[in-house]
Amino acid sequence: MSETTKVRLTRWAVILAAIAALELLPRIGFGDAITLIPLSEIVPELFELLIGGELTEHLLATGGAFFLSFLLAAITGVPLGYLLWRYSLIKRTLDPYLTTYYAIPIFAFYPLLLAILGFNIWPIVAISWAWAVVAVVLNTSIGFGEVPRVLVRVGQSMNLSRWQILTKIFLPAAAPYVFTGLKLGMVYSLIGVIASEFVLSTRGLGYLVSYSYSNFQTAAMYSAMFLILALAIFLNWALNSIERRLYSHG
Amino acid sequence: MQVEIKDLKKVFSGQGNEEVEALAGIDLSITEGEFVSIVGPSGCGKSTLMEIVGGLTEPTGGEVLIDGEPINGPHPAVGLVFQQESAFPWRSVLGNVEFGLEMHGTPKEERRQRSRDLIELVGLQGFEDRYPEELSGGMRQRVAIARTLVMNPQVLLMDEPFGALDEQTRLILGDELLRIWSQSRATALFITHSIEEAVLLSDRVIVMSARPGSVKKVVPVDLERPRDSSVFGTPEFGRITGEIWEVLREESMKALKGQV
Repeated sequence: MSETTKVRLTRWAVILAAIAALELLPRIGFGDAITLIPLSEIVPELFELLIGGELTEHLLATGGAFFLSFLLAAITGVPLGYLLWRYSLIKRTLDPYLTTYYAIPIFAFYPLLLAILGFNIWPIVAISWAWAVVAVVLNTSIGFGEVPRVLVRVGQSMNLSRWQILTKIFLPAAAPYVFTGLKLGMVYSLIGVIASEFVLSTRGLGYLVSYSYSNFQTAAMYSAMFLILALAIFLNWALNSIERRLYSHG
Repeated sequence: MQVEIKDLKKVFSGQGNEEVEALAGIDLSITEGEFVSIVGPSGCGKSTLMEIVGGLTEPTGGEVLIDGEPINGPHPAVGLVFQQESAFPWRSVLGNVEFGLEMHGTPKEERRQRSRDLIELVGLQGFEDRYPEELSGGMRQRVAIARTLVMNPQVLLMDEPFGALDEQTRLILGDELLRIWSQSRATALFITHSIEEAVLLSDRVIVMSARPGSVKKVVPVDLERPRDSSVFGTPEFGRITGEIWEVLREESMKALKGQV
C-alpha cells in the first residue's frame, strides 16, 4: 500500500470514527439525553428543517453577513497592506497596535457597535470585518516586503511604468502571501459572524445554535452546528480551488 | 552601439556620517559589437558599475554615454541579465520571455513568434509551457537571458549571469552565450569572478582594483573567433589567464586584508 493511500484511508477512518462516536456515545448513555443525542436523530431533523425552509432565513443571514464582511476585508485589506508596506512611517507607527491586535477580545465591543449602528446586520458585518481585515493587511504587507528586489530591477530595466511594476510584478509576486491573508481573513470573518450572532441577534446560524440550546431543541442545535461546519468546509474548499486555479502548475 | 564610461564615481552614504566609496573614477570605452568582461575582487563595485550603466543607479560623479548621448535612467536599447534568480515564478517560460514585449504593447502574434524564436535559440524548445520551478537553475537563467534578448538589445549588460551555477553548466552556457552573441552582435559588458569565463568570452578583460574600484589593467584577448571552451587547453589561453591572475591576486589580497 502506498503512503498516499494510507494517508487517505486514515483520513476516512477519522471521519468514520467521529460519526460512530457521535452515534454510539449517546446510545451507551454517555452524557444526558438533552445535550447529546445520536447522529441518526440529528440527520433527519437537519433534512426536515432544510426542506421545511426553517433554516433558509438563518443560512441567508449568516451567509450574507459573512460575504459582506469578507468582501469588505479583502477590498480594504489589500490596499491598506500595500500602504503599510509602502510607507514605513505608517508601519512604524502602527506596528505595536497591529502586533497586539489579536490579543484584544474585540467581541466585547459588540454591544457598543449595536448602540452605534443599530439592531441590524451592520454591527455583525463591522465586527467581522474588523476581526478579518488585520490578517489581510499584515499578510499583504509581508508579501510586498518579500518580493525579491531583482524582479523589480527587471521591470525597471525594461522601462516599465510604476503602475506596470506594481500590477505586473509586485502583485503577482506577493499573491501567495495575499492569498494566505485572504484565507485567514475568511476564517476570521466567519468566526466573527457566528460569534456575533451568538451574542445578540435574532437570526443566523450562530443565533440558532444559541437559541436551540436554551430551548432544549437539541436536534435543531446540532443541525445548525453541522451547517456551520459545512459552510466553513465549503468556503475553504472554494478559496483553495481558486488558489489552485491561479497556480495550476507544478 | 558604443558605450563610454567617463570618470564614473559612486559614493554610498552609510549610517551616520560614514561614507563608502564604491567606484573611484572608472574610465572605459567599449566599441560597437565588442565583448568586454570585468573581473575584480569581491566588493570592488562591479555590480554597482553595471547598475549605473543600466540606468538603475545614479552615479555620484562622471557619466555614461551611449552612442554619445548621456543616459538618464534605463536606456531602451540596453538589456540587463542579473545574477540572482530572476525568472518570474508565476509565468511560464513563454510568458517570461514575452514579458517585455507584452508590457510594451507588441501585438500578440509578433511577440509569440519572436519569443518562440528566442526560446529555440537558448535551447528551451519543448519547455514553453513549463514554469520556472520545474526547471533547473541553468534553464531558469536561460529563460532570463532569452527574456532580455527578445527585446533586441544593442547593448547587453550581464552581471555574473552564471554565478550561481556549477562549473560544467557555466562552461556550457558560456559556449552557448558565444553562439547567441555572435548572431546578435550586440555590444556586451560581462561581469564575472571567473577568469576563465572572462577570457573565453571576451575581446578585452578589464581587471578592477580592490575597493574603491578603478581600472587596474586592461588585458586584450586575441584568441581567434569563433571560439568555444576548447581554447582552454591552448598555451595562449594559459598565458592570458596567468597575466590576469597576477594582477587580480594582488588586488584580491588587498580586498581580503581590508576585510580582516
